[in-house]
Amino acid sequence: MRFAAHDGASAALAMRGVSVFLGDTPALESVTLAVDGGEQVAIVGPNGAGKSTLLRTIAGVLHPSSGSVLVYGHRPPGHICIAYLPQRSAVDWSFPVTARDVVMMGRVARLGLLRRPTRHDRDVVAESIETVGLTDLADRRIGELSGGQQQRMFIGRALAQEAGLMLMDEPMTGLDSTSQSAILDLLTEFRRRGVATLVANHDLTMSSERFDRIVLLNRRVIADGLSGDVLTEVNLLAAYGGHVHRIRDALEPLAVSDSCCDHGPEI
Amino acid sequence: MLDLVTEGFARAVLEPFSYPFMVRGLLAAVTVGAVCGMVGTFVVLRGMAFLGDALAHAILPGVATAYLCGATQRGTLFWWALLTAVGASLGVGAISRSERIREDTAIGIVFAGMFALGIALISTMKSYTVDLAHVLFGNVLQVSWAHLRTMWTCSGVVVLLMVSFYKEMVVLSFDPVFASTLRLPSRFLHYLMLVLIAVVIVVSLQTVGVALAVAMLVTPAATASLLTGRLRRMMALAAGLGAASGVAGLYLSYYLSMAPGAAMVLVATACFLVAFAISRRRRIPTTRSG
Repeated sequence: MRFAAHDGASAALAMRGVSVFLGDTPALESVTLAVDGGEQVAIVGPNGAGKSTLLRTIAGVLHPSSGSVLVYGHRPPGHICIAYLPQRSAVDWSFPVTARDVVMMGRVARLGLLRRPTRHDRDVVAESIETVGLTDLADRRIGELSGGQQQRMFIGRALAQEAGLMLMDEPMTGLDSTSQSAILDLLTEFRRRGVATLVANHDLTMSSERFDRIVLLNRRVIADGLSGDVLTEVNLLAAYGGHVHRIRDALEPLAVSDSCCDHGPEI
Repeated sequence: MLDLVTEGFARAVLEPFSYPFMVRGLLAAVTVGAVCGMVGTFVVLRGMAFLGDALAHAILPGVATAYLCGATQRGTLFWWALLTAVGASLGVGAISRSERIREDTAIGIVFAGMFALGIALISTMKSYTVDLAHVLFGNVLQVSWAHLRTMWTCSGVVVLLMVSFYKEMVVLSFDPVFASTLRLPSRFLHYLMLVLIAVVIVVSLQTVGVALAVAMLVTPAATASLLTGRLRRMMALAAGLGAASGVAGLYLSYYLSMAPGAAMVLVATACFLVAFAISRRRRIPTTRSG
């Protein structure tokens, strides 16, 4: 295999002083972040804070203008084990494929050019589909699945890919609470497999209750750590600026959502 | 009585093909319809219809130059057209990566310009109108066996490449970001797709011409997309519909003395309208939330 072997001694993710420009605008400024295998980190911050940019940079789709990104000790383009789950609104749901087809896409890089899926690949796909609980719906068109099922399908694709690092961009947006908790339950499967998971999330309550760590982002890392240390008034003011009153009012009963994410996907 | 009807029908079906040029025309129409339908499936899925049309028009200066150089042989024209088309498709690939101007604007400017250049070149020739009409609208009834063999070779190569890179192309079309995290050769695949479209347009040049090539590429595939939700079925159906439109168009042109290229496109369009009407009634929901 021509892709990088995982260096067991290295962190799942180590970013040092990473800056990214989108055109002429700085989207991320000297971001330093380390995540261990099995750790589950929520990335929170206002719209336009660079959450998607951060995930895409880690995925190796965007390239930093300075700083370094190492995934298991190697630069992202050396890996095929980074699973990137798109925002649901960024997907063409009328595309003529079934859930099984999409999960099989996770195998494409391991198959290599000019190879067809083997029995082993089909087994891995079937297992992944079963893990995410879509066995009965596997041969449905993707457009016929509900939002939660669609998100679980992408998680299945990441399983089939045998991902070592999961990047999820706003996976909870537009889902009801049942679907949300189904996805959170699946994340424990990734923890069991030692997969590091980064989730861009705008629900501060969920982020503080269900994740190991919170990274508060607004172009730079404003705070990084346990939720109690991160979600302080000072930090939230720094991250959300003028919106902080709404956030703070909402934080009192700890039923928070930043209500800023109804404008469609961030770029 | 029934025998007479059957016999009359059989004669009506078979009669056109007592002429060898009609047989060659039929083979050309079926080839073009099928291969356009296959490649067109990806054109429709990736929203590249405008680009396909632009590419077709960009071929004109290449063909015109060949005329000017005194190439009267159809075979020579074919290779000139192919060269221009491949060059143009690589040009499009380069333009679409520029950030200074919107992609569709750039394509519109470059290809309207190339089309004008082609017309300007052809207009300096004596047989201007006849030659221009052939390039613009094709002339399927003048296809030679040699030309058919070239068409089959090119179509064969296109189908082989499509089959070889099928799974990568599907991933790239569905989720480009995921394709790049899988480290698939996205840029190579994108250019390959453009070159395949260019080759298919050149193959269809003699049949439907520059002006209508995009219809054979897009219409049967769009019809198929309304009728099935599975990619492989959609491709097969698009190829079948394309070939059937070609054959039906040829009959129409024989009995109503229409331009064959236009007749084929009209049949394809009629199929699309029927499918559109049917699918509106039993609409498949595209997304549900929750």
